[in-house]
Amino acid sequence: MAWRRTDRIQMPGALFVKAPEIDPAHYIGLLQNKSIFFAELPVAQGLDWLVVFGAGSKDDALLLPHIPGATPIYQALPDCWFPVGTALDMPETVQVSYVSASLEQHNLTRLEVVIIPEFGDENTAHNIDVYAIRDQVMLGDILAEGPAL
Amino acid sequence: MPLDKDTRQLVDSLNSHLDDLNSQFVGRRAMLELILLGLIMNEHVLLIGPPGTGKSAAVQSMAAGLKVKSFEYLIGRFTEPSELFGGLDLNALKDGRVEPVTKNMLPEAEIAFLDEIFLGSTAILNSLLKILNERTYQRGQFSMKAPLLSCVAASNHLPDDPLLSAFADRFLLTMFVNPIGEDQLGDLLTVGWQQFTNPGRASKPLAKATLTKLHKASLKVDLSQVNAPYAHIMRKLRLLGVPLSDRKIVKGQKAIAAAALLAGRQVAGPEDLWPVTFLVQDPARQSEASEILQNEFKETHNPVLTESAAEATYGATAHATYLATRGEKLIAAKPALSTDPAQEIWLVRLETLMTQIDAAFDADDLPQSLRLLRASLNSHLDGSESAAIDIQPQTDEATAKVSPKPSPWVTK
Repeated sequence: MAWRRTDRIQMPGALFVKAPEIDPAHYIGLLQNKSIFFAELPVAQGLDWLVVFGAGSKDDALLLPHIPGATPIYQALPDCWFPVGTALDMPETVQVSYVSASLEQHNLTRLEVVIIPEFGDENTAHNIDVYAIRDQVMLGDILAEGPAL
Repeated sequence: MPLDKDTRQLVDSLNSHLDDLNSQFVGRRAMLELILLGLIMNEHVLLIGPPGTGKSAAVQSMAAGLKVKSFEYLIGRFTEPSELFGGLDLNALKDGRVEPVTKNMLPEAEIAFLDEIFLGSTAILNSLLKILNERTYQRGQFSMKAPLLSCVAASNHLPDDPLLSAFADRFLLTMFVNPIGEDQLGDLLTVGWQQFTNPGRASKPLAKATLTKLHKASLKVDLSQVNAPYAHIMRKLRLLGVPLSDRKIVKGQKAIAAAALLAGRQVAGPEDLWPVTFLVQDPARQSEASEILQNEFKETHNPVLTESAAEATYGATAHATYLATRGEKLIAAKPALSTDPAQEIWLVRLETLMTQIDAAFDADDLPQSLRLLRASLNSHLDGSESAAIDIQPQTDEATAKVSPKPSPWVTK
């Protein structure tokens, strides 16, 4: 099983921010004060990561902040986000079943997930990291101190 | 060579009409663009897709937005020819003449939408074939010129019957329409609800003269520079076993010419070859064609037919064009006053576009059109956090630095 690189033509629907490369807490504070529109964006956070979802899904109406260094992600499958420029290297018809079965094995059913393949210098990847999204809150409702990193 | 001022204005009016129509739908711009391309070429378009994917609604909106005579019919197995072409004129029959009453029927239509076309009887398809091919309706001794500009037909699937396949080949462009993606369901519900609550929303009709003039202008487009690459593409497709009739290959030039015209070019170039994808009348072969022709389509550019060009090529170049066009429109929509409440949302949209550009291209690979656009976005966002930090490549570092796990499924 492999993930492959593709042209980066998918529209990002969210941004994945991970410590230590980027400090999620820094951006939470920054975005909260930047615009009332950003304060209303849904976010999900883990121990050392943060996902900022765009508001609205239509390309020309979507609102998404600019966070340099964040990984733009797109909804590749229902409840499943991949980095822009990546795809599952298998026929489309079996992708949903494969991902569902794999998530089920790890007790991640009914959860939205972000899957980050580990490409390194290759164009295909066999190892991935899965970030399970359990709760979403409005960015404006998070304390400016941000997640516990 | 750019277009003359009059033609430029016609293209602009067509573009704004397309934007207007598109606002009534979610994820259907490519389909609307292809229908419009068919009208300008005076050729026919086939839409294949499951029921409820907006095929009929798109054609109805298109017809309502044009000052042309339209005819629409859902064909069934038991549909009689008279339901499409008109019943017999009894007064003429008394005089011994067999003449149909064609008023408001298909023979007098300028745009026709025929749903479930392949369910039509042999009698229907034979009469239809003559209208599609020769713009002539004939019934016995009766014959009349049909003013049909374009017929848009729809079906759930392509026919297996070779005779029906030959009929389907009369449709120059074929689009496979899929249900919209899960991520667009929210917008579908919003726009759908707006249709219930504000059904009278109609765009300013486009005059038939606009289509006629653009059709004539498209026939004047110089194709000499694309003859050789077009022939090369056709050879490549035939070698791969993609069935393309001589008729379709010849008529395909009309699609290239019309695409060039709408892109503002009097001389067609490699940027305008992308409609070739829609000549292929098989879903798997169509996506195969767009993949194997990536090199031939790498210069694709069309600021009006953005979505269909992107769908035909799927390449980074088309994506860059799409983003650049969006950016130009966005910057042109700048609120006049900085105190305007719309200013803040406009700035957020600029920032969103900057994110979309950076998601698609590294700083080193940024196409020239996007380089200028990004600089412009930066200047508008001047003083904001986005502008202060320079572009960074899309990072794979975060993932690369994570040490490999024994299992590919590692929960965080």
